[in-house]
Amino acid sequence: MSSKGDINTQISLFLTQLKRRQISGAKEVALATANLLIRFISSRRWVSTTAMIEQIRILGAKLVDAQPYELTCGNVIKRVLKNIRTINEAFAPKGNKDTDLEEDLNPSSSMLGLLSVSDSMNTSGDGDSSNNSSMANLTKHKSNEAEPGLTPSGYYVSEEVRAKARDLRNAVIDEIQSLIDEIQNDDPLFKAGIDMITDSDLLLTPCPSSKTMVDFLLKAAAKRNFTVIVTESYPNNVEKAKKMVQQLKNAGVKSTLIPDAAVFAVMAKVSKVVISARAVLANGGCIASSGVAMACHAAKQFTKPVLSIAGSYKLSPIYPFDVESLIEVGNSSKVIDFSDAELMDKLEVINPLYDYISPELIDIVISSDGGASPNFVYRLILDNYSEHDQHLSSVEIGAA
Amino acid sequence: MARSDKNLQAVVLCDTYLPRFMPLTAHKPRCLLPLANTPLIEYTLEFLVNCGVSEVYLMCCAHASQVSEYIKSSRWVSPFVPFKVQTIELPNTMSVGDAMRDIDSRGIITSDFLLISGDVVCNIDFDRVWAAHVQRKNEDKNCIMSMVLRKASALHRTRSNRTGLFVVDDITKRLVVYQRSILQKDIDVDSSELLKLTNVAFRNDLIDCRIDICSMDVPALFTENFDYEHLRDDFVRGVLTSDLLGKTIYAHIVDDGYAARVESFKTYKGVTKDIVSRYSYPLVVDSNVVQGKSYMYQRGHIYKERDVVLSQSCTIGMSTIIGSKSSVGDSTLVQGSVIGRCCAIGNNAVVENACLWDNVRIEDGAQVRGAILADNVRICKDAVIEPGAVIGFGVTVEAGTTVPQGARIHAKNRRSSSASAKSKSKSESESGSENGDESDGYGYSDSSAVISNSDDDEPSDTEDLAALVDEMYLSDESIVSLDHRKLAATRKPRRKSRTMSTTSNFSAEDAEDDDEEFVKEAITSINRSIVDKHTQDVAILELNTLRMTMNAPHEKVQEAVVIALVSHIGHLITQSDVKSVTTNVFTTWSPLLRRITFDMVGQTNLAAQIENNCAGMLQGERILAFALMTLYDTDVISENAVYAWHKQPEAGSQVRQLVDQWVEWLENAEEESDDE
Amino acid sequence: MIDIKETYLGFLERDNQLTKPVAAIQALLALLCELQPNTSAEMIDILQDAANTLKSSVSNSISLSAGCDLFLRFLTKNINASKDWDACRRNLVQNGNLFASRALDARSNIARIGLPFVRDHDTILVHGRSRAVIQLLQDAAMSNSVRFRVYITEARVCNEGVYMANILKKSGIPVCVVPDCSVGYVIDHTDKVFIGAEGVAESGGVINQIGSYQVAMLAKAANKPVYVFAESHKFVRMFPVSPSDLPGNEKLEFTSPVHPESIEMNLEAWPQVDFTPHQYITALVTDLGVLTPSGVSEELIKMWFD
Repeated sequence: MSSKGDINTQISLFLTQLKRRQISGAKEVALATANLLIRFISSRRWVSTTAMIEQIRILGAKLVDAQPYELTCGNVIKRVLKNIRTINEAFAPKGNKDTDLEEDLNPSSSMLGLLSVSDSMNTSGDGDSSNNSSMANLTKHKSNEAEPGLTPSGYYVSEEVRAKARDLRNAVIDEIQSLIDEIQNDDPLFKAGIDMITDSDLLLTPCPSSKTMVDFLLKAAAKRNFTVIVTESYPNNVEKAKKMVQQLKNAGVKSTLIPDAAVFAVMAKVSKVVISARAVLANGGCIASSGVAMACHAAKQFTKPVLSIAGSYKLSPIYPFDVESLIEVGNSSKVIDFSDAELMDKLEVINPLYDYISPELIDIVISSDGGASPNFVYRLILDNYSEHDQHLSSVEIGAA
Repeated sequence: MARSDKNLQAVVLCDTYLPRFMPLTAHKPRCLLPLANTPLIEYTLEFLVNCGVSEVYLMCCAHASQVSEYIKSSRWVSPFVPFKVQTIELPNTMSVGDAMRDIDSRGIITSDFLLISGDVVCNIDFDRVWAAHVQRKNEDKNCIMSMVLRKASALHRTRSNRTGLFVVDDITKRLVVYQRSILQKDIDVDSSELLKLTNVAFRNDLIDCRIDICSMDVPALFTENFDYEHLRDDFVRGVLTSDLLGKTIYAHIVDDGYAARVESFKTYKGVTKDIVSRYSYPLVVDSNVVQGKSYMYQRGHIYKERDVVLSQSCTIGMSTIIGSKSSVGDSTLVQGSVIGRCCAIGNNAVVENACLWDNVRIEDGAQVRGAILADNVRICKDAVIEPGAVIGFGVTVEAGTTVPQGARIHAKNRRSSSASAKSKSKSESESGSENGDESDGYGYSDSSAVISNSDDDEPSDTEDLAALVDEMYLSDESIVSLDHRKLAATRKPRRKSRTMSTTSNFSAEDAEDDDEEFVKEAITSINRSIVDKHTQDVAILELNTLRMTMNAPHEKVQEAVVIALVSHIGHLITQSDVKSVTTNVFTTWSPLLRRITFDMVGQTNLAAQIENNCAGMLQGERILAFALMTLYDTDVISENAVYAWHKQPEAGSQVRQLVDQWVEWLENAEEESDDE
Repeated sequence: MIDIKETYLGFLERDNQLTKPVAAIQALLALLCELQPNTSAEMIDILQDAANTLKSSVSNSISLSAGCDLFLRFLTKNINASKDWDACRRNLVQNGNLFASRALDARSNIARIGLPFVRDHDTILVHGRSRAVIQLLQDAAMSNSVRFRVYITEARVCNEGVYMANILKKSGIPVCVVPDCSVGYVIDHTDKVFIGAEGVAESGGVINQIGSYQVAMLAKAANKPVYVFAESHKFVRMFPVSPSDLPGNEKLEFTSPVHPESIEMNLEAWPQVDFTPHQYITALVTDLGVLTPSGVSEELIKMWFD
């Protein structure tokens, strides 16, 4: 059996923690995933990037299946995959460029896939074909040579490969490390956000459960003089809402707690609605805690701007084509008390934890890279993720 | 995992030693019965993970090897599990008490530990419970136990009818009185105890989740009091009623979070509903914590695993779980049900509020409502399963049969004495004859089916499986008390020797005093039963409890009963004639008498007791005669016992005249039949 | 020299699974087979001419023009890159059959990618006959894990609704054919709208059987998603803003007092396609994956401006 420190054990432990919801919250999950990836990558010896990508994809599918609602987990893995693909390009030896040409002409994932001549290509949408990777070709070729025995030349070559693999591993780990730093550092995000807030603003936030939101408002309070209205966010976050108002009060920010039902009533006076997204999807829509969509609709009615703040790690390449599959349903006893036997028997309760906010309702998505229109989010996503890694698991597209 | 450094131990009682899940538990240990398609024990172990336990001992009795096997091949042996699971097989234990004594003898408990039943579904924040317990211990050195009780309501679907009444000091939450089963209308409370307290709460709305934090004294107390069988009825009551021990038990009443226990078919159904409706979140079906599960949630509390095959025209209603590789045919309605893996449901069938385990086949047009169908059950074409039925492993219900409400059916081959394989159908008796022929093994045998008719005093809602099913097991206590008897009988010699050795100045006088005391108490108890019209089960239980606490011999029980009955008759004969009164009373109480009368000696003794009591009574002669005749007719006393008694020296010859005639007639009748 | 139009129509007739762009590519390939050009420029010229002839001679040419453009673009790109244009030509000719099967693969890819769009308990409205949609729905029905029902519009003028309904019915899918005028009536009971495409314009708007526009508008008004299922070889470099921008869509005649004939609708001459602007489309499901309308221009840019 494997020991405690074994990577498989750590993976299994993380999987069960995700399933039990012991690790939750976008940032916590993102960081835990990144740390796990570092351990995973350093625990193995990699012959090729192809193998590395393949293994990470398999691991990613498992993690996504374990907690399909925590999108940041998949985001981190996809970001790392993209990084590996980029590193792979950098590692490709210059002399071996001839394969690149064909690759350029026959990208299986473009419209020209239909007409590509080489038989090895297929038109499958996944297009994660192994011969795309020049590093893979190199190592495959060389290790074949080295295999027959310990001939001097063979030994020499495999040593070279090994050195390359080591470099690759270190490079990938460095990338993940800087990703971790990025996730942990909210300052660029807050800075961009504060720019959007002016003195004497009356902000409404329907996201009391978000730690990012609290941190952001506290940070902004140091530079701006504004008032905050916090919704109660019944039934899941009432306690957090009270705590948030308390925290703001302590920091000298004027703040009010209102019931969710009063959102429409106060909206006329509000100057901006600030929401904290759990995830920003490829179409610019957001997933946030339940009750946010209602506030955004009210804002639209009164044409008040809606600012969505989200760290870059919350950008997700997933399209919300099945909104239901992105929204977790929580504890029913928050709505009906468990001791109320009669109601429990007569009523079915559905208590969704999140809301999907369609891109039309959002005016600007503020990420660590600055503000962007929801229409532009797909571009950011193209920059951050490889199209091959859009989906790691069938669960992500809502397939049972 | 706040206490992992403190090395918290948990003892899981996988067995309750009660037959509540028969016939299902005949083949499978109860902790492995699937609840919402996951074995019960998984829920308990998941809870223990959240408790931060570091060692878990599974105490198993029935099918212990199955439990061991299961644990061995499960994820609980993996290195990432925060605790070590050890299965302790105890095939020879006969009660929770025995299991506790075993724990004590093993000496595995090193500090305060968690004692939990192997059927608990719970998501409460255990840290708070633990902190409260620690604080209580600091304040009250005598605290040996904190019981976790979830606030619910008296008629809650997840609450067992058998949950006791808790009388709690409202300020300190100390448990003052524990009264078993609220079916009893009287509460027997020592008022002097209550008067000391300013605020007392009588709680009849609690779910007893059997999550107890116990001190090391608890197993030891079980060893000291080797007649303790049950955790609540014996131990808790014992501790609370004992002035000598001076130990205290606290109730930790939680009113948020989910905590419940699957202890009967009613709560099985209730907890299933709770899990499906996500009251136990995050302990829900689609968290897929158990390896190999792939449930996805869909609006309306529908959970589907991978590879479910649904026909285009079937309807899947709210609150349904469908396991992998199961299929649902055309125009079939499935609603509010749990369907296991690899089940095949045909066309035009109805499955409502039912639990289907794995590999169940339901053929075209069959209707299953509110029933539990175990693995490999086959329901043939157009059969109807009415609410509350429980169909055991591998049973085939023949085409067109109707299984009546609350029937229990199990496979014949497991049962040695199955007389008839003919199935009876209420509505379609003509199809009955075919059943035996077509059956590929079991059929559904009427002799093994238990059919319940709900009592009048309970609201009988035919739709409600839970109520119905629970109804049937109201008589569980009789089985329990039978066990008592057997156990007590076997253990008696041991007990005596022990008492002798420990108590040096044990005198016969003391024993007599005790017995007298017992008879007094017992008479009061029976009188109360007569006056309040308690069921005999209750009366028997009280008697047994009394007998065991006071260590009285069986003769004394008989004595007490007879005294009570005869004096009762004495009261009644002023109003009507002796014959009918006597016959009536003895017929009514014959079940009780039968239970306290075992052998020839006992029967003879019983007769003698009646005689003694009748002597000197008005109409004593007639009472004695009619009593004996009734007892003979109801098979409480055998013929030989009558003769044996009759041959005894005549203690009160003045009342025997009438009986003599009867005995004579009896002898003649015997001879006559012999001649033939 | 072969008649490019006849060849094209011949391809279409022989194989009813063939889409128009692929038939156009096949026709151009046939031409390439026969040609013995001396230079690459000459070859391109000939093909360009043939493509233009084809586009102008066939009414409703959007879809085939997508195929022609794609083919020519591929050729020029390859020739520029590899220098050896003749080898390239030979290679193409030899692998001609491959394209048709690739096109079929593309369709099954769409069905695979689009499968999660069909959810349990769905009621789907379908307008016009589309091979991609048929295959998707058949696959979904085969998968046995979802149950859904389909409203099919009659799709007058082309009258292909009933045809399609029969195909789906055979696959065991519950269908209901509704007249085009009752889309507004059923849209409330619909969960989503599926349409195919003749061509996908640069904006992400869709050229499809006539009536698609109004269906999409009604869906938008009722807040129902509209999904378009189209192979990526149907992406076309066009930027129509209204149906009248489509080639071959003539002005419709009004009655005039001078000609007192009875009013009669000439279905033959009626426009076969209309244009649905991108704002009515929730997403396009293509063999390249699920795209938002803006993703289409991304793909086109990738191909034309790299």
